[in-house]
Amino acid sequence: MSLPSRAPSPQEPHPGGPLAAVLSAYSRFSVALGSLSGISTMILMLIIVPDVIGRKFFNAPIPGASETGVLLLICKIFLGLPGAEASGSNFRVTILREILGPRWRRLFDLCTTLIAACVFGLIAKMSIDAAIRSTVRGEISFGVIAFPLWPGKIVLAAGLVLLTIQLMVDALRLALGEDESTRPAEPESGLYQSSAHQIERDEQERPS
Amino acid sequence: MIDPVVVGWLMIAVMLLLLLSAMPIAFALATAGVLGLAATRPWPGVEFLLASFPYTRSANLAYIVLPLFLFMGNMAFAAGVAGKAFDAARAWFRALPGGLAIATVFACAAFAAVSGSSIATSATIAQIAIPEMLRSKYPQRIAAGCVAAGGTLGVLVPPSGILIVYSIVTEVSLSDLFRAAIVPSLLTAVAYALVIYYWVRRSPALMAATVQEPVPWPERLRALGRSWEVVFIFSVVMGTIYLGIGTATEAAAFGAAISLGIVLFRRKGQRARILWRGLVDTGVTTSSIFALIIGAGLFGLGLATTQVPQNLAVWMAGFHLPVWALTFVLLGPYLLLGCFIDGISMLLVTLPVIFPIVKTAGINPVLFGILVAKTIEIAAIHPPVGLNAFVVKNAVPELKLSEVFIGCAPFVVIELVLTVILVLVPQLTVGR
Repeated sequence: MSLPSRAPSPQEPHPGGPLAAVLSAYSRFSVALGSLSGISTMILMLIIVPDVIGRKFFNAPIPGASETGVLLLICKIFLGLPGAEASGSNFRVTILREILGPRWRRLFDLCTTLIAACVFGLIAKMSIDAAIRSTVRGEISFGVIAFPLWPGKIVLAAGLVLLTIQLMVDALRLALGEDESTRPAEPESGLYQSSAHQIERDEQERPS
Repeated sequence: MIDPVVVGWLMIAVMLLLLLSAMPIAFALATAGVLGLAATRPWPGVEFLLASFPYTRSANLAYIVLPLFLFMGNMAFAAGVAGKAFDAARAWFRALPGGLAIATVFACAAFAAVSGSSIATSATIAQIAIPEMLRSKYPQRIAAGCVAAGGTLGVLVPPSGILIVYSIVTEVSLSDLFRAAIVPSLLTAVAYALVIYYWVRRSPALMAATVQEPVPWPERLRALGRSWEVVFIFSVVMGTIYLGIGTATEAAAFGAAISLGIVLFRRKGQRARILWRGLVDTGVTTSSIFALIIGAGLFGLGLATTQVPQNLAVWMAGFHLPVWALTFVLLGPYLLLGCFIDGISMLLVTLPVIFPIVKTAGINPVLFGILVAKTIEIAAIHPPVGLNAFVVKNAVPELKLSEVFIGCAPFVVIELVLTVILVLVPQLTVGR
């Protein structure tokens, strides 16, 4: 149940000009990064299942499996954040938005996106500082094995920076007069919320 | 310096304002939280919290349970186990008045047990069961109502995504929540079946149209055998938890691996596409849910500093209400909010305020989690949001939305009755 993208294809010249083309390309990059973060689920499973079987039945856990699992979870969450924003997959309340005209809607979207960019920019800045401190100190966990914590903190900071950039890209696109109909396609349907988005969009796209 | 309590109420107001402005809920919660922290704590303290909180809130091995169960649900969905569950349930119940509709409810329960998702359950079973019910002269309202309501079992039946998120946010044991959900899930499915039975029995014409030839016992057993995947996945997941073989995370890993194995074995030729879709979907959904969890965490952190939840708890304690009455009072906002926002968001917006009151009042947090899941079930089938009603309508476009909602009405009533029973008889949930 994938959605056809209504954003221009990379081959065509973007009707909004070079800036709009760059913004659109960044959004597609975010969605692609989110799709890649899905692969970490597979790696997670390939590590956790043998670890559980080894631990429960052969008393032989895989060393570092838990720590690697946590690192993969961090990759999954934070590298997926820009893609979730770019594809409009984040949950939101649209009850008031639905009664607004397109102009007011865009104005509201622009204001809330700018606010979010400021807040997540701040959190990203703090996370970068934390990642630098962690890397310089060579921070490690004190579990069964000494596992480096700094790679996770770098990934987390990178994800938040990319999310902040995505929010600024969205704000610029809104300022240029684009709306969410030009968002890149959500990668695939979701069992939890994407189906609802799909319904909403299907209803909008269905000819009256 | 502004009075922290005023800051707390301002935080709630800002959050609501941003929500109404259609800001993504995760961002609205985070924004209100950061503003609250900045207003009540010295800046170095805020810097420290913002630098460390996203990592501490997400770097926990137990949270892997969420993507693993999401992936399991995706693979079970792709493996087509829903159709087999419906065939088995139909073989067993078709001879009863409203038998196909009753079979649909149990097929929903079975599919929910491997998908953990209300939307996926409704969408999948709707496409299989509703056309057959309509062909068998069932009115639209019964055909659609039983699927929309049956789908809500995905909110409660383990491995419910809602219970997983509740566990992550409140740090209540997920295994305890899953165990506690079993009896209410069974009660709900049986209550739905009884609603359909008596609904159909009221009309002799309907009764005559819906009672079908009974299926011979050997065929019933064969149909049950053909749906072995559902039984197997659910038994492994719940058996791992119940028998103490492993934690919920480990059960999720087994469940995900088995459902992946079934897809790889069954869907030759489409394996790469199904696997890629499942992985991508799991990735996007996990990120969206964790964005909410981190946002709600920041909001909760800011709110805790202002003492608003604690003051509310003290204020409510002043009424000297018995625990059951207080439980009803605390469930009220969920029924109201369910008219406007989806279940996971509702949970994360409210828990920073309500959960401290739950703990202070001595309400069992496991029981409260199950009750909140019940209110989310109700929200999924009553207007104006009624997400499952829309999912069913979307899956079978010839249905009238008004008929779907009318069909959901008896199930809303029975859900309310069940919620009252669970509050008054907590032993059904927490066993003591």
